[in-house]
Amino acid sequence: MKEKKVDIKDVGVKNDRPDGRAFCGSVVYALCPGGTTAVF
Amino acid sequence: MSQAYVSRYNVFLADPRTGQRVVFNTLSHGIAALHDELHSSLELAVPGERADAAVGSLDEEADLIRIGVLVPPEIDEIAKLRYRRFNAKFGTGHSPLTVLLTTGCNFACSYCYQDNLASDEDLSMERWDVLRTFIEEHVAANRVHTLKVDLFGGEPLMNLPVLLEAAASLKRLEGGRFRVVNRLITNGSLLDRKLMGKLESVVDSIGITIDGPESRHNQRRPFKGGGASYTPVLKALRLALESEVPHVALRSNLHLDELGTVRQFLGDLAGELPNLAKLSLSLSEIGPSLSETRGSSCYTPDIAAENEIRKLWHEAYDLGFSFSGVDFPQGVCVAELPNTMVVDPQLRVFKCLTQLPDRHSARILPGGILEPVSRSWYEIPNRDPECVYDCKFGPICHGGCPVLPERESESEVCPLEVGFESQIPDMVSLRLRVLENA
Repeated sequence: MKEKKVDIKDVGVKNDRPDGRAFCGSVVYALCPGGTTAVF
Repeated sequence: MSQAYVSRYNVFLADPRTGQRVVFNTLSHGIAALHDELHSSLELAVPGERADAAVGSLDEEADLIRIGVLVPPEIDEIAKLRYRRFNAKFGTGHSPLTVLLTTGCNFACSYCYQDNLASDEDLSMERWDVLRTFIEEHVAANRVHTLKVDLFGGEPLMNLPVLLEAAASLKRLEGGRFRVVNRLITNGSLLDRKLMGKLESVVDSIGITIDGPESRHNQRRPFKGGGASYTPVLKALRLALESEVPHVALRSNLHLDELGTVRQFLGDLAGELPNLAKLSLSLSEIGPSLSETRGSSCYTPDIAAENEIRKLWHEAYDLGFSFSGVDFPQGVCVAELPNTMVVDPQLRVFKCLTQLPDRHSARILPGGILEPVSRSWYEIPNRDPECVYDCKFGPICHGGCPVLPERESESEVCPLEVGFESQIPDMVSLRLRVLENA
């Protein structure tokens, strides 16, 4: 049997409909001082 | 012959835990383990150019297109990224809001980032009514379907009547597809069983901070006027985990030289806390206060320290903790969303917490009218730096912090790029572990 060269672990974000909110609303930002929002 | 081209947003790495060679696409957030030969040839391929020389078979190509590592010729992925960023920012269905119930606090944390809040002031019931009117009209006008409200302070439980009224009245707005998610951020010291009973029906999440073992926590987070806080806070955490509140967040702030004690502390906690499955853990290095961020340059995280802390994530995951802050996708900073607001007790509106106490962008007037008072109200959401589209980390970096001053760097190398290069392998590794166990 041929060796599989691509083993998909996560297909990622597929939904591009308007207001799909696929990428929205991160309240975790690496540079927030003190990670002030990281707890949310 | 393939017409697909290689994505600009691929990150090639070896999983630090297993050594497995992996590709992660920052635009799609697709992840795949790759055969060594394919990994190497794709890594050498020129982003934006045709991929046929790098890919052996149509099956492999189809898989790689499926996860965004290759892009079909009819799709312009830069346009796709711009579309997603604009959609994320200007879509109105989703609205995060932070309400400062008070600027007062009963703790005197040695590292408190809110060190420049001049005086203790509570949100009055009258002003809450004004804010509620604004929220109701905002939700209706924008057809908001999810309103996330962080009930914050100071210590929000020090303004209990307004907190309970605010949380309950927000919940009463729910109906149809419209949902309110109330998240209480508290030091935990005032939480008891009776109060938890009142909160259970109106709060969806409770966030509590414990800074490591008892002695360390008591030293770092004492009551104002002295006095140890560890015992009541741990009791509150346990109460929250035993309650009907669906989600509990535990935050632990630490310095790099404390990793050993924090490791021990997490092991002890995991052994004694109930319902660990509904608790998410956040580990953060102690950063600068608001006063310190008023300097001339943006805060630069200590990458080595963050990487050490990230190693601790894996150990905590083994103990049964889940995490906030490491899930993909990470999106546009909330400060860039027109629908995001931090509202203080005077009903001044800030783009994010770093702008407290005096850099407000708008205010809410009687009648629930929002009035911009700074050019930043319009400028921050419109920000769209070109580096976002040119850099492989652009779709998860979004050009850095949109509100703090531009960093001053002597190097030509972008410090954010260096940071992501260093962080991504561990983040992907942890994501892979979560996926494996899902």
